[in-house]
Amino acid sequence: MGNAQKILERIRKEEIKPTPAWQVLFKRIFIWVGFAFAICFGAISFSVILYVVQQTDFDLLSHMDHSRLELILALMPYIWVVFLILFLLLSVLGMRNIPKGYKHSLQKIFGITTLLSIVFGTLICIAGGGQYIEQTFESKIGIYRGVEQRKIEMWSNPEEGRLSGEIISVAQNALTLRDYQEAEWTIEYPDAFIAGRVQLVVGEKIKMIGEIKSDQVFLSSEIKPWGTGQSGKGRGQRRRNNE
Amino acid sequence: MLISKEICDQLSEQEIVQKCLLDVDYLSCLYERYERKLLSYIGHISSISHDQAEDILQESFIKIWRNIHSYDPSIKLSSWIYRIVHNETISQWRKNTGSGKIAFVEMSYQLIGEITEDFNIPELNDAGIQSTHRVLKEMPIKYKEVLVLKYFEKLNYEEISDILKIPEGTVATRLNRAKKAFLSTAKKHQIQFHD
Repeated sequence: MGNAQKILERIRKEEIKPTPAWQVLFKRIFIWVGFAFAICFGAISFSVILYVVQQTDFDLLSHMDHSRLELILALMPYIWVVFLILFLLLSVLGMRNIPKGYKHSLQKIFGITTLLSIVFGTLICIAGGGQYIEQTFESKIGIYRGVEQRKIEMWSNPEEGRLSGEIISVAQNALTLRDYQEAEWTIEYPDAFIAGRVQLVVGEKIKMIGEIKSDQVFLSSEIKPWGTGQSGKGRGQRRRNNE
Repeated sequence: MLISKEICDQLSEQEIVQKCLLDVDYLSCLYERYERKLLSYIGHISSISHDQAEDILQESFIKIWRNIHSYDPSIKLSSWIYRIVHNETISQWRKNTGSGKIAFVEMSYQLIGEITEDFNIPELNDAGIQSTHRVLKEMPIKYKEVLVLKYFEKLNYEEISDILKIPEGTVATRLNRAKKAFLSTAKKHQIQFHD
Protein backbone atom coordinates (compact mmCIF):
# COMPACT_ATOMS: atom_id res chain seq x y z
CA MET A 1 0.00 0.00 0.00
CA GLY A 2 1.42 3.40 -0.95
CA ASN A 3 2.07 6.04 1.67
CA ALA A 4 -0.66 8.34 0.31
CA GLN A 5 -3.16 5.52 0.65
CA LYS A 6 -1.98 4.83 4.22
CA ILE A 7 -2.56 8.45 5.15
CA LEU A 8 -6.08 8.48 3.73
CA GLU A 9 -6.95 5.24 5.47
CA ARG A 10 -5.66 6.51 8.77
CA ILE A 11 -7.66 9.72 8.40
CA ARG A 12 -10.82 7.72 7.75
CA LYS A 13 -10.15 5.09 10.41
CA GLU A 14 -9.38 7.60 13.16
CA GLU A 15 -12.02 10.03 11.84
CA ILE A 16 -9.52 12.84 11.82
CA LYS A 17 -11.25 16.08 10.95
CA PRO A 18 -9.80 19.47 10.03
CA THR A 19 -9.95 22.13 12.72
CA PRO A 20 -13.18 23.99 11.90
CA ALA A 21 -12.82 27.20 9.93
CA TRP A 22 -14.74 29.18 12.57
CA GLN A 23 -12.22 28.07 15.20
CA VAL A 24 -9.32 29.23 13.05
CA LEU A 25 -11.08 32.56 12.46
CA PHE A 26 -11.89 32.92 16.16
CA LYS A 27 -8.23 32.38 17.07
CA ARG A 28 -7.12 35.04 14.56
CA ILE A 29 -9.69 37.53 15.85
CA PHE A 30 -8.67 36.73 19.43
CA ILE A 31 -5.03 37.50 18.65
CA TRP A 32 -5.92 40.79 16.93
CA VAL A 33 -8.18 41.83 19.79
CA GLY A 34 -5.50 40.84 22.30
CA PHE A 35 -2.98 42.92 20.39
CA ALA A 36 -5.34 45.91 20.32
CA PHE A 37 -6.01 45.60 24.06
CA ALA A 38 -2.30 45.40 24.83
CA ILE A 39 -1.71 48.61 22.83
CA CYS A 40 -4.63 50.34 24.61
CA PHE A 41 -3.50 49.38 28.09
CA GLY A 42 0.05 50.29 27.19
CA ALA A 43 -1.23 53.69 26.07
CA ILE A 44 -3.20 54.11 29.30
CA SER A 45 -0.11 53.28 31.35
CA PHE A 46 1.92 55.79 29.38
CA SER A 47 -0.74 58.49 29.83
CA VAL A 48 -0.54 58.07 33.62
CA ILE A 49 3.26 58.24 33.55
CA LEU A 50 3.05 61.38 31.42
CA TYR A 51 0.56 62.93 33.84
CA VAL A 52 2.86 62.20 36.78
CA VAL A 53 5.84 63.75 35.01
CA GLN A 54 3.67 66.81 34.28
CA GLN A 55 2.89 67.10 37.98
CA THR A 56 6.57 67.01 38.92
CA ASP A 57 7.79 70.31 40.24
CA PHE A 58 11.14 70.51 38.51
CA ASP A 59 11.69 74.02 39.74
CA LEU A 60 11.79 72.52 43.23
CA LEU A 61 15.27 71.41 42.36
CA SER A 62 16.73 74.81 43.09
CA HIS A 63 15.38 74.46 46.62
CA MET A 64 16.47 70.92 47.25
CA ASP A 65 19.65 68.96 47.47
CA HIS A 66 18.37 66.39 44.98
CA SER A 67 19.10 65.92 41.30
CA ARG A 68 16.45 65.90 38.58
CA LEU A 69 16.76 62.14 38.34
CA GLU A 70 16.25 61.68 42.10
CA LEU A 71 13.15 63.86 41.93
CA ILE A 72 11.69 61.88 39.05
CA LEU A 73 12.51 58.60 40.77
CA ALA A 74 10.80 59.80 43.94
CA LEU A 75 7.58 60.60 42.07
CA MET A 76 7.66 57.91 39.37
CA PRO A 77 4.65 55.61 39.48
CA TYR A 78 6.60 52.35 39.28
CA ILE A 79 3.50 50.21 39.01
CA TRP A 80 2.55 52.01 35.77
CA VAL A 81 6.06 51.58 34.41
CA VAL A 82 5.75 47.85 35.11
CA PHE A 83 2.32 47.82 33.42
CA LEU A 84 3.71 49.67 30.41
CA ILE A 85 6.57 47.18 30.01
CA LEU A 86 4.19 44.25 30.48
CA PHE A 87 1.71 45.52 27.88
CA LEU A 88 4.49 46.35 25.44
CA LEU A 89 5.74 42.78 25.74
CA LEU A 90 2.21 41.44 25.23
CA SER A 91 1.69 43.61 22.17
CA VAL A 92 5.03 42.43 20.74
CA LEU A 93 3.87 38.84 21.30
CA GLY A 94 0.55 39.65 19.65
CA MET A 95 2.17 41.23 16.64
CA ARG A 96 4.46 38.24 16.16
CA ASN A 97 1.38 35.99 16.00
CA ILE A 98 -0.74 37.98 13.60
CA PRO A 99 -0.57 36.73 9.97
CA LYS A 100 2.85 37.56 8.55
CA GLY A 101 3.84 39.23 11.80
CA TYR A 102 7.03 37.14 11.72
CA LYS A 103 8.15 39.12 8.64
CA HIS A 104 9.09 42.04 10.89
CA SER A 105 12.17 42.08 13.06
CA LEU A 106 11.79 42.19 16.83
CA GLN A 107 13.27 45.69 16.92
CA LYS A 108 10.76 46.94 14.35
CA ILE A 109 7.83 45.35 16.18
CA PHE A 110 8.97 46.78 19.50
CA GLY A 111 9.44 50.18 17.89
CA ILE A 112 5.97 50.19 16.33
CA THR A 113 4.19 49.04 19.49
CA THR A 114 6.10 51.55 21.63
CA LEU A 115 5.29 54.36 19.21
CA LEU A 116 1.59 53.44 19.18
CA SER A 117 1.49 53.39 22.99
CA ILE A 118 3.26 56.76 23.17
CA VAL A 119 1.05 58.44 20.57
CA PHE A 120 -2.24 57.14 21.96
CA GLY A 121 -1.03 57.60 25.52
CA THR A 122 -0.21 61.24 24.85
CA LEU A 123 -3.66 61.81 23.36
CA ILE A 124 -5.31 60.15 26.36
CA CYS A 125 -3.26 62.33 28.72
CA ILE A 126 -4.18 65.52 26.84
CA ALA A 127 -7.83 64.54 27.12
CA GLY A 128 -7.44 64.21 30.90
CA GLY A 129 -7.48 60.43 30.90
CA GLY A 130 -4.15 60.06 32.71
CA GLN A 131 -5.30 62.24 35.60
CA TYR A 132 -8.68 60.51 35.82
CA ILE A 133 -7.18 57.03 35.92
CA GLU A 134 -4.50 58.01 38.43
CA GLN A 135 -7.02 59.63 40.76
CA THR A 136 -9.45 56.72 40.40
CA PHE A 137 -6.73 54.31 41.41
CA GLU A 138 -5.82 56.52 44.35
CA SER A 139 -9.37 56.69 45.61
CA LYS A 140 -10.37 53.08 44.96
CA ILE A 141 -7.22 51.09 45.71
CA GLY A 142 -6.08 51.48 49.27
CA ILE A 143 -2.46 50.48 48.84
CA TYR A 144 -1.95 52.69 45.79
CA ARG A 145 0.06 55.85 46.48
CA GLY A 146 -0.83 58.31 43.75
CA VAL A 147 1.05 61.37 42.56
CA GLU A 148 -1.29 63.57 44.58
CA GLN A 149 -0.28 61.82 47.77
CA ARG A 150 3.37 62.02 46.87
CA LYS A 151 3.03 65.71 46.10
CA ILE A 152 1.41 66.27 49.49
CA GLU A 153 4.28 64.45 51.19
CA MET A 154 6.83 66.51 49.29
CA TRP A 155 5.06 69.82 49.95
CA SER A 156 4.35 69.17 53.62
CA ASN A 157 7.83 69.85 54.89
CA PRO A 158 7.82 73.30 56.48
CA GLU A 159 11.10 72.50 58.23
CA GLU A 160 12.69 72.17 54.80
CA GLY A 161 10.92 75.25 53.52
CA ARG A 162 7.98 73.66 51.68
CA LEU A 163 4.41 74.10 52.81
CA SER A 164 1.05 73.59 51.14
CA GLY A 165 -2.64 73.57 51.90
CA GLU A 166 -5.89 75.45 51.53
CA ILE A 167 -6.39 79.15 52.22
CA ILE A 168 -9.02 79.54 54.91
CA SER A 169 -8.84 83.29 55.42
CA VAL A 170 -7.21 86.30 53.87
CA ALA A 171 -6.35 89.29 56.04
CA GLN A 172 -4.63 92.55 55.39
CA ASN A 173 -1.06 91.51 55.98
CA ALA A 174 -1.23 87.80 55.94
CA LEU A 175 -3.34 84.81 55.15
CA THR A 176 -4.28 81.72 57.10
CA LEU A 177 -3.61 78.30 55.62
CA ARG A 178 -4.79 74.87 56.71
CA ASP A 179 -2.19 72.31 55.70
CA TYR A 180 -2.84 68.69 54.75
CA GLN A 181 -2.27 67.60 58.33
CA GLU A 182 -5.10 69.94 59.35
CA ALA A 183 -2.72 72.32 61.16
CA GLU A 184 -3.28 76.05 60.71
CA TRP A 185 -0.51 78.42 59.69
CA THR A 186 -0.18 82.13 59.40
CA ILE A 187 1.49 82.96 56.11
CA GLU A 188 3.43 86.15 55.69
CA TYR A 189 4.45 87.04 52.17
CA PRO A 190 5.87 90.60 52.09
CA ASP A 191 8.12 90.07 49.07
CA ALA A 192 6.91 86.77 47.76
CA PHE A 193 6.95 85.85 44.08
CA ILE A 194 3.36 84.95 43.32
CA ALA A 195 2.64 82.85 40.23
CA GLY A 196 0.24 84.38 37.72
CA ARG A 197 -2.57 81.86 38.29
CA VAL A 198 -2.65 82.35 42.05
CA GLN A 199 -5.52 84.57 43.23
CA LEU A 200 -5.11 84.28 47.02
CA VAL A 201 -8.76 83.69 47.78
CA VAL A 202 -10.47 81.52 50.37
CA GLY A 203 -10.66 77.91 49.28
CA GLU A 204 -7.71 78.15 46.94
CA LYS A 205 -5.09 75.42 47.28
CA ILE A 206 -1.50 76.63 47.10
CA LYS A 207 2.04 75.50 47.72
CA MET A 208 4.86 77.67 48.98
CA ILE A 209 8.61 77.94 49.32
CA GLY A 210 9.86 79.79 52.39
CA GLU A 211 10.89 79.22 55.97
CA ILE A 212 9.38 78.92 59.39
CA LYS A 213 9.53 82.29 61.06
CA SER A 214 8.09 81.25 64.40
CA ASP A 215 5.62 78.76 65.81
CA GLN A 216 2.99 78.11 63.09
CA VAL A 217 4.13 81.21 61.20
CA PHE A 218 5.59 80.68 57.74
CA LEU A 219 7.44 83.37 55.81
CA SER A 220 6.83 82.67 52.15
CA SER A 221 9.15 83.68 49.30
CA GLU A 222 7.22 81.90 46.50
CA ILE A 223 3.54 81.05 46.17
CA LYS A 224 2.33 78.70 43.43
CA PRO A 225 -0.95 77.08 42.51
CA TRP A 226 -1.37 73.53 43.78
CA GLY A 227 -2.88 72.16 40.58
CA THR A 228 0.07 71.68 38.24
CA GLY A 229 3.80 71.15 38.24
CA GLN A 230 4.27 74.36 36.30
CA SER A 231 5.06 77.35 38.43
CA GLY A 232 3.93 79.88 35.88
CA LYS A 233 7.33 81.50 36.11
CA GLY A 234 7.54 84.51 33.95
CA ARG A 235 3.85 85.15 34.28
CA GLY A 236 3.93 85.83 37.99
CA GLN A 237 5.16 88.83 39.89
CA ARG A 238 6.40 89.95 43.22
CA ARG A 239 3.47 91.47 45.07
CA ARG A 240 3.23 93.30 48.32
CA ASN A 241 0.31 92.64 50.63
CA ASN A 242 -2.98 94.17 49.43
CA GLU A 243 -1.94 94.23 45.77
CA MET B 1 -9.40 6.25 -2.86
CA LEU B 2 -6.42 7.85 -4.56
CA ILE B 3 -7.05 10.50 -7.17
CA SER B 4 -5.36 9.65 -10.45
CA LYS B 5 -2.20 11.41 -11.49
CA GLU B 6 -3.85 12.72 -14.65
CA ILE B 7 -6.53 14.52 -12.66
CA CYS B 8 -4.02 15.83 -10.11
CA ASP B 9 -1.74 17.20 -12.82
CA GLN B 10 -4.57 19.30 -14.23
CA LEU B 11 -5.19 21.07 -10.94
CA SER B 12 -3.34 24.05 -9.51
CA GLU B 13 -2.29 23.89 -5.89
CA GLN B 14 -5.03 26.27 -4.79
CA GLU B 15 -7.58 24.11 -6.60
CA ILE B 16 -6.25 21.01 -4.85
CA VAL B 17 -6.67 22.72 -1.47
CA GLN B 18 -10.24 23.73 -2.35
CA LYS B 19 -11.06 20.20 -3.46
CA CYS B 20 -9.45 18.74 -0.31
CA LEU B 21 -11.96 20.66 1.76
CA LEU B 22 -14.73 18.78 -0.04
CA ASP B 23 -13.03 15.40 -0.47
CA VAL B 24 -10.04 14.25 1.60
CA ASP B 25 -8.91 11.98 -1.25
CA TYR B 26 -7.44 15.03 -3.00
CA LEU B 27 -4.85 15.14 -0.22
CA SER B 28 -3.14 12.34 -2.14
CA CYS B 29 -2.50 14.82 -5.00
CA LEU B 30 -0.50 17.00 -2.62
CA TYR B 31 1.33 14.03 -1.20
CA GLU B 32 2.34 12.66 -4.60
CA ARG B 33 3.44 16.11 -5.73
CA TYR B 34 5.68 16.73 -2.72
CA GLU B 35 6.70 13.32 -1.44
CA ARG B 36 10.14 13.03 -3.04
CA LYS B 37 11.24 16.60 -2.30
CA LEU B 38 10.04 16.49 1.30
CA LEU B 39 11.64 13.11 2.07
CA SER B 40 14.91 14.51 0.74
CA TYR B 41 14.48 17.64 2.88
CA ILE B 42 13.74 15.65 6.03
CA GLY B 43 16.85 13.57 5.45
CA HIS B 44 19.06 16.60 4.90
CA ILE B 45 18.13 18.48 8.06
CA SER B 46 17.84 15.54 10.40
CA SER B 47 20.05 12.80 8.92
CA ILE B 48 17.54 10.16 10.05
CA SER B 49 16.76 6.91 8.23
CA HIS B 50 14.44 6.74 5.21
CA ASP B 51 11.81 4.76 7.14
CA GLN B 52 11.72 7.35 9.90
CA ALA B 53 11.54 10.12 7.31
CA GLU B 54 8.46 8.45 5.78
CA ASP B 55 6.85 8.26 9.22
CA ILE B 56 7.54 11.95 9.79
CA LEU B 57 6.11 12.81 6.40
CA GLN B 58 2.92 10.88 7.12
CA GLU B 59 2.51 12.62 10.48
CA SER B 60 3.11 15.93 8.75
CA PHE B 61 0.38 15.29 6.20
CA ILE B 62 -2.04 14.35 8.97
CA LYS B 63 -1.24 17.77 10.48
CA ILE B 64 -1.65 19.43 7.09
CA TRP B 65 -5.12 17.88 6.88
CA ARG B 66 -6.01 18.97 10.42
CA ASN B 67 -4.85 22.54 9.79
CA ILE B 68 -6.04 22.95 6.23
CA HIS B 69 -8.34 25.83 7.20
CA SER B 70 -5.33 27.65 8.68
CA TYR B 71 -3.59 27.89 5.31
CA ASP B 72 -3.07 31.55 4.40
CA PRO B 73 -3.28 31.90 0.57
CA SER B 74 -1.01 34.97 0.69
CA ILE B 75 1.98 32.65 1.13
CA LYS B 76 2.97 29.84 -1.20
CA LEU B 77 1.37 26.48 -0.43
CA SER B 78 4.78 24.86 -0.74
CA SER B 79 6.15 27.17 1.98
CA TRP B 80 3.27 26.30 4.27
CA ILE B 81 3.73 22.57 3.68
CA TYR B 82 7.49 22.85 4.20
CA ARG B 83 6.84 24.72 7.45
CA ILE B 84 4.69 21.93 8.87
CA VAL B 85 7.13 19.23 7.73
CA HIS B 86 10.05 21.25 9.09
CA ASN B 87 8.47 21.62 12.54
CA GLU B 88 7.53 17.95 12.72
CA THR B 89 11.04 16.93 11.64
CA ILE B 90 12.75 19.13 14.23
CA SER B 91 10.46 17.78 16.90
CA GLN B 92 11.22 14.16 16.01
CA TRP B 93 14.92 14.85 15.46
CA ARG B 94 15.24 16.30 18.95
CA LYS B 95 13.78 13.12 20.37
CA ASN B 96 16.09 10.97 18.24
CA THR B 97 19.34 12.79 19.00
CA GLY B 98 18.83 11.84 22.61
CA SER B 99 18.63 8.15 21.72
CA GLY B 100 21.50 8.10 19.19
CA LYS B 101 19.34 7.08 16.22
CA ILE B 102 21.24 9.04 13.63
CA ALA B 103 21.96 7.64 10.17
CA PHE B 104 24.46 8.93 7.68
CA VAL B 105 22.86 10.53 4.62
CA GLU B 106 24.52 10.75 1.25
CA MET B 107 24.70 14.09 -0.47
CA SER B 108 25.56 14.67 -4.08
CA TYR B 109 28.93 16.07 -5.12
CA GLN B 110 27.19 18.88 -6.91
CA LEU B 111 25.30 20.08 -3.86
CA ILE B 112 28.30 19.85 -1.56
CA GLY B 113 30.30 21.63 -4.22
CA GLU B 114 27.86 24.53 -4.18
CA ILE B 115 28.16 24.96 -0.44
CA THR B 116 31.93 24.70 -0.33
CA GLU B 117 32.34 27.02 -3.32
CA ASP B 118 30.25 29.64 -1.58
CA PHE B 119 32.28 29.14 1.59
CA ASN B 120 35.55 29.59 -0.28
CA ILE B 121 36.71 26.04 0.32
CA PRO B 122 38.84 24.82 -2.59
CA GLU B 123 37.69 21.92 -4.79
CA LEU B 124 37.26 18.77 -2.77
CA ASN B 125 38.36 15.21 -3.19
CA ASP B 126 36.43 12.25 -1.74
CA ALA B 127 37.89 12.75 1.70
CA GLY B 128 36.93 16.41 1.52
CA ILE B 129 33.35 15.51 0.63
CA GLN B 130 33.15 13.17 3.62
CA SER B 131 34.54 15.93 5.81
CA THR B 132 31.89 18.35 4.59
CA HIS B 133 29.25 15.77 5.46
CA ARG B 134 30.63 15.50 8.98
CA VAL B 135 30.73 19.25 9.47
CA LEU B 136 27.14 19.69 8.30
CA LYS B 137 26.04 16.94 10.66
CA GLU B 138 27.72 18.65 13.63
CA MET B 139 26.41 22.14 12.94
CA PRO B 140 23.72 23.71 15.13
CA ILE B 141 20.27 23.03 13.73
CA LYS B 142 19.38 26.71 13.17
CA TYR B 143 22.30 27.06 10.76
CA LYS B 144 21.84 23.66 9.16
CA GLU B 145 18.19 24.37 8.30
CA VAL B 146 18.93 27.63 6.43
CA LEU B 147 21.82 25.99 4.57
CA VAL B 148 19.62 23.08 3.49
CA LEU B 149 16.75 25.33 2.43
CA LYS B 150 19.01 27.60 0.39
CA TYR B 151 21.46 25.16 -1.15
CA PHE B 152 19.54 21.91 -1.24
CA GLU B 153 15.96 23.09 -1.70
CA LYS B 154 17.03 26.12 -3.77
CA LEU B 155 14.56 28.41 -2.05
CA ASN B 156 14.78 32.19 -2.00
CA TYR B 157 14.87 34.35 1.12
CA GLU B 158 11.12 35.02 1.06
CA GLU B 159 10.28 31.33 0.96
CA ILE B 160 12.79 30.51 3.71
CA SER B 161 11.29 33.34 5.77
CA ASP B 162 7.79 31.86 5.36
CA ILE B 163 8.93 28.37 6.29
CA LEU B 164 10.95 29.27 9.36
CA LYS B 165 8.67 32.21 10.33
CA ILE B 166 11.55 34.62 10.68
CA PRO B 167 12.17 38.00 8.98
CA GLU B 168 14.05 37.94 5.67
CA GLY B 169 16.82 39.98 7.24
CA THR B 170 17.28 37.24 9.82
CA VAL B 171 17.53 34.65 7.03
CA ALA B 172 20.41 36.61 5.50
CA THR B 173 22.10 36.98 8.89
CA ARG B 174 21.78 33.30 9.68
CA LEU B 175 23.25 32.31 6.31
CA ASN B 176 26.17 34.58 6.97
CA ARG B 177 26.65 33.11 10.41
CA ALA B 178 26.17 29.61 9.00
CA LYS B 179 29.24 30.14 6.85
CA LYS B 180 31.28 31.12 9.89
CA ALA B 181 29.78 28.29 11.92
CA PHE B 182 30.68 25.83 9.17
CA LEU B 183 34.33 26.78 9.35
CA SER B 184 34.46 26.98 13.13
CA THR B 185 32.69 23.61 13.48
CA ALA B 186 35.27 22.08 11.18
CA LYS B 187 38.04 23.58 13.29
CA LYS B 188 36.44 22.49 16.57
CA HIS B 189 36.08 18.87 15.44
CA GLN B 190 39.47 18.97 13.71
CA ILE B 191 37.92 18.12 10.37
CA GLN B 192 40.25 18.56 7.41
CA PHE B 193 38.96 19.20 3.89
CA HIS B 194 42.12 18.05 2.22
CA ASP B 195 44.66 15.31 3.01
